[in-house]
Amino acid sequence: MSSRQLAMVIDLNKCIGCQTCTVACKTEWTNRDGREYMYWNNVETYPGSGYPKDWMNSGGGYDQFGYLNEGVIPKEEDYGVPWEYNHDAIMSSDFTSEERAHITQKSEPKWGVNWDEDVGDGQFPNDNYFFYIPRICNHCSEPSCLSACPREAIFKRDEDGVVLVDLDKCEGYKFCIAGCPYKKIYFNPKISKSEKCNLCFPRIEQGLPPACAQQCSGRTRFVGFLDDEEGQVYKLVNKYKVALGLRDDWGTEPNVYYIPPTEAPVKYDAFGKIIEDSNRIPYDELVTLFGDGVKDAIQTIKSEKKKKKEGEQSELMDILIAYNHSEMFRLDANYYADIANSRGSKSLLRVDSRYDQGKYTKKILTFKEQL
Amino acid sequence: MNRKRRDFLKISGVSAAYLATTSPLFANSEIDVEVEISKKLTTEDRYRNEFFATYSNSQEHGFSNGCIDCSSNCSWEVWTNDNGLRRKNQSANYPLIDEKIPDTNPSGCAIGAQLSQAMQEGKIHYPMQRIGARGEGKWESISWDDAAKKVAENIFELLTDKRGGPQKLMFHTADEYLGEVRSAAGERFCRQLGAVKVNLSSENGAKFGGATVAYGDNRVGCTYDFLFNTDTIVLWGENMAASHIPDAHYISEAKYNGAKVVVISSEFNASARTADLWVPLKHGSDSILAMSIMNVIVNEKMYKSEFMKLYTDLPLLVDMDTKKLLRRSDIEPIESCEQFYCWDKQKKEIALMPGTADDERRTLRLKEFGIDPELEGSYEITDKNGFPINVTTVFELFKQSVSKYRPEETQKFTNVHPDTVRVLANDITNTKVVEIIVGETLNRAFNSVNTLWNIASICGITGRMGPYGGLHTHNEFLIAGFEQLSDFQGKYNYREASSFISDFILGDVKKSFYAHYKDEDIKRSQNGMSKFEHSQILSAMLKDGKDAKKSGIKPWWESQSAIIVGNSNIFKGNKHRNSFLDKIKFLTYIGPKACETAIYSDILLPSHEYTFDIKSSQSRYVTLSKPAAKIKSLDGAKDEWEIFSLIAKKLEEIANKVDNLAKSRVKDEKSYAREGYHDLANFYKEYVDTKHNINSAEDALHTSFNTVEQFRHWSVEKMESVGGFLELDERAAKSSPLYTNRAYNSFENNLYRFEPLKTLSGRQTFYVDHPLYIRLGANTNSAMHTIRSQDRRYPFILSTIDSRWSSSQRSSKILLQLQRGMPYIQVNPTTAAKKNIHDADRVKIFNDVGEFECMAKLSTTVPPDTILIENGWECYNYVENKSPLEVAVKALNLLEMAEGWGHLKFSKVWDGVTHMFDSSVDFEKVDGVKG
Repeated sequence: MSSRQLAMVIDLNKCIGCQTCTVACKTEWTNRDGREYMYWNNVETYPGSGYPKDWMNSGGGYDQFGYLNEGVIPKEEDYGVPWEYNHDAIMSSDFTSEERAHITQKSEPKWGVNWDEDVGDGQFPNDNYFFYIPRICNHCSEPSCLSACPREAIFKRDEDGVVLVDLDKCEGYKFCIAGCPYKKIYFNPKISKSEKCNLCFPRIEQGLPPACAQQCSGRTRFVGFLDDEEGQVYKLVNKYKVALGLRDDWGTEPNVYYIPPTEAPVKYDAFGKIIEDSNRIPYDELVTLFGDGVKDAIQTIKSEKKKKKEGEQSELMDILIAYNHSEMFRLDANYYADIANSRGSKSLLRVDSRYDQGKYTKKILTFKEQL
Repeated sequence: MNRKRRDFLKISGVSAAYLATTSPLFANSEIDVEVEISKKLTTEDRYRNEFFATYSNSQEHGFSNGCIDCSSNCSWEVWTNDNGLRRKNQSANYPLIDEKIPDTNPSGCAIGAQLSQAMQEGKIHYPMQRIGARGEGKWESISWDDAAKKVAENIFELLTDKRGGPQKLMFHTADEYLGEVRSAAGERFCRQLGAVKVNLSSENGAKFGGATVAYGDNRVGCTYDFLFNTDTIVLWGENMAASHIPDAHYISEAKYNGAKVVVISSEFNASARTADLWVPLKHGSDSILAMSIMNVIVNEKMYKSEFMKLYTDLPLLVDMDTKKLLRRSDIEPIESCEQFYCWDKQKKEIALMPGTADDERRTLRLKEFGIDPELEGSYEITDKNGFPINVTTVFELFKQSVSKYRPEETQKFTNVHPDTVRVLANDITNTKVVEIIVGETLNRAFNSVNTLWNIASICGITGRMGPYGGLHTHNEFLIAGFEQLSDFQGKYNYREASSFISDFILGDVKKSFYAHYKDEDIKRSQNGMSKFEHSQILSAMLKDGKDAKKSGIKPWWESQSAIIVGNSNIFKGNKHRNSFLDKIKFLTYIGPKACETAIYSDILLPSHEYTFDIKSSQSRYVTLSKPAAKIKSLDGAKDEWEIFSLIAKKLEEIANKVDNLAKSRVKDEKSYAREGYHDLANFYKEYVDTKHNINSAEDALHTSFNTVEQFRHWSVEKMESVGGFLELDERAAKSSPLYTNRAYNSFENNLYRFEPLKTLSGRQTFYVDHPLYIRLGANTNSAMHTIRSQDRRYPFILSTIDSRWSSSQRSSKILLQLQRGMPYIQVNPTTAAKKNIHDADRVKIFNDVGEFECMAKLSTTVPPDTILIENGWECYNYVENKSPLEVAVKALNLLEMAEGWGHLKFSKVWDGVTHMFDSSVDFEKVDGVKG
């Protein structure tokens, strides 16, 4: 456990599967140097096999007694080999010949990070459904990747709970990959070491939210410290209890939480008639994913939505609506500055101050805002 | 190993120190991580350095506005270093307009975010000249001077040849995609020559002709923040989660705020998946569904009579025999004039309605004139010659038409249960604020005019305007002053050609249209008109429209050369392209990268993908594009202003040659050249405009701050300081005030100030008495079946949708890696099983017109009778360059051909669409091949 824990809440009702977060992360970290096949952030369609393929049945995590479960190290093809293209050949290809050229991928597409996009399950049009699950490393409070590593090469930052691989210590044994039930730690073949999502801590230290969160088009993500009682993360997780961990049953205490998908259209019967008050998303699936807490979470969301529709106040709906984008991220700038000072480090360069607020950083209103 | 780097690392050693590096780290080279680790940089410092190298410092940031083909127009911060663009990150600086409505941040999607990675893919670095056959791939790189000279020579020859003239040169200036500053370069050049200006992308469906019929304008609607406080949002043929990604969050927020969201679409898409109600209607039956909704509203008397009397033409009187609107010239001995009558309830006689096209009383306020119109009834009156005429109201005729679409009967065409139709009718009528957002996909279908007109009419009979909601096609604000960059104050004008007709002619579509569609297809989709009659009418209109011979007919010209700016999809299949290339002897492409147009061009002039620009959008913000100070031009590209001014210079030089001077004044009609000629000997001088001296996009950008009224209090620096945009003021408002602290929706000025609409009647249109509309039974709202062939050999509907990947970045590697890497059709699993097709099998899709192959993707979101293809692929993404356009027959709808009726006059708001998305196909597995 770290002194403080940064956490993220992702609202699955707002996610539209646009993959902006994926591209944000890819262009920030993983478009180079052995990381090309890695998607530290990915968005998968559920039901589906996910990324890597069938990760939910690949072991890892802890059993009910707290012992590490056996785990699988996914094969290269389970991640999908990122296809390369011959763009530069387009202009010099002969489109008049029999064998007319086309822009090809250099390997045959068999599987990819988003292969199952919008495939879904059920019977068209009566009860088919799908939703999206964006996933990053959960920066767990009890990371099984950390437990699994025989070299103790994985550490959790005390100041904010970000889990990182110490590249000095890592010898590329891959126990962590087997140990992580979310398969969110990857082997970098170029440096023969593990690497993973770092919660964009360099951005956070300099005042910018994680790329996936800030750049999310759907405005689905809140980032803040779990002990920041004025923050949305605290309220969604602890006060309203509508933000739940994914597969809590694996025992790693993930710190990325999800608002379960409550929004889906009514079903149709065999005659094409609306089935009133029905919901396409099977309840059992949600329990499997988010645990028993999902029942109350759904209830709370539905009743607060009803209040709002009837013109009453609802703090929960106002939080989920998130009127002000910059307030979705509470990075507690003063806190990070104090830590840097206490370590005698050079003071952190700040590139942005819009997301400063937090438990130790109160927002100072300018005169104009106070009016 | 880079020596500089080793030295650099020696100096560092201090943790949490952020050091600049001059060596290129990404894309073109690699981080030497081993070296970094051995020098004892902690893991954390390694990541910190990586971030800093990507971010660089704030002096090296620029701003980029939205992507080249998107109307969302987001503001991006562009992170650069010595090697150019590293990353794009949304600026996310838009202010909160109303603290009770979510702000619009971050605004920007995956397509924009990846642009920094995709810019080098297929990039054209230098001007090129074709040296082999067209499409053979043999090019020679030439200097800018030579390239510009060749283009100029062709222009000079074309314009001065005795059988030539300005009409022989055609421009596609991409003005709907590039920002106003960049696109003005090509517009100015085209205008100065009196050349033909045409939009060769009409098939995208951005015209929304049915909305023009209803409102006199095809760009109506709201800023998306308006959706937050609606009670009902209907996404009809519009998948906002895919087509308007930066604004889609307003839908989910509105839902949390209490709105009901209804999605009407034949497939279960990303917008449908969170809707309250998804209506899976049969593909192409939208106009029928709209009529059945109105059937319920009319039968159950849910309509808003008082609104209809004031703001619609429903009370106007129609001659029951001729089906023509009763005009003043029928009653009084005067020349034909567009003034119309209602039946006054109190006075029990006809009354001339104010606010109509020729009426001096410019108001809809009937009380002022003591007029109380009847909505219903038939009456006998006497015309100017003393003959009796039986008249009735438009509403009566409308009701008659609507009565044919009982939900119980339409179900077999729409697959929508009558109960659901009633739910829709109720949701749209009985909630306070309803916004119906229609998508471009609706407008691509053959019967799109009916569809959009019908949906607009639903709004008309339920009182939807201003704060009560209404139809949203594409919002627009008015920014006066941009036109000064290209207009010459009226001295020159271009020849504006009809886009869909030009497409039809260039692609020689008539042949294939009549070969494919049978008599019964045309009868079914054009209200019983036979194929023969259809072809007669079409041929006559095409003949009369050539060279704008006759007014009141959509014009087109037969050009021989074309200059295409920045658009890749001008060809619509191999046959279409071959015909196009046959007619266009000299093709110049001005764009940043490889695309189908570039492959078949004669001269390539590379433009920047990202350069100085300003772009407006559907929102109140206008965004800036300004490369960071440090960004070097890494290749030989230029911006459009630089390119056109270079060609202008060469043209002037050629015109001033001794042998040429005599013919350098190209005669033209006064409507295209006020002084009767285009002066090629002074072409460059006039082009760069000595007053503004515009030689580059940067010059044009700075000039716009002087010419555009609303930019007067802004500057590039001020725009940068707030985050790369400026906010429009109240002068930008079109049909409603633009409040600084409230969302915007159209038609408040009409609703509250009783200003007439820009229509013939001054009101929302429910009646069009153009002879063609009467002949086609479309004089009032009606529905026509799709033209799609009912040939039983091809039982599947090929539905073309805009997915989240449909953009000019279709071939981007980073995006393809997030899909299946290659084109695919989506098939229902049950249908696939019957054909023994498994996921990722290769399939062939075919009909009597052609065929193409791609991967099959099984999805539960697709109806069993449909296969889904996503728009936007280049032909060369496909095997043998056969795209889905090989099975598509292009079609023209006569309703869009109609001209010269009131507000239905050829212009930006009234032109047709090349309909090519109504195909019937079959498909089968291709054995032995995967993917």
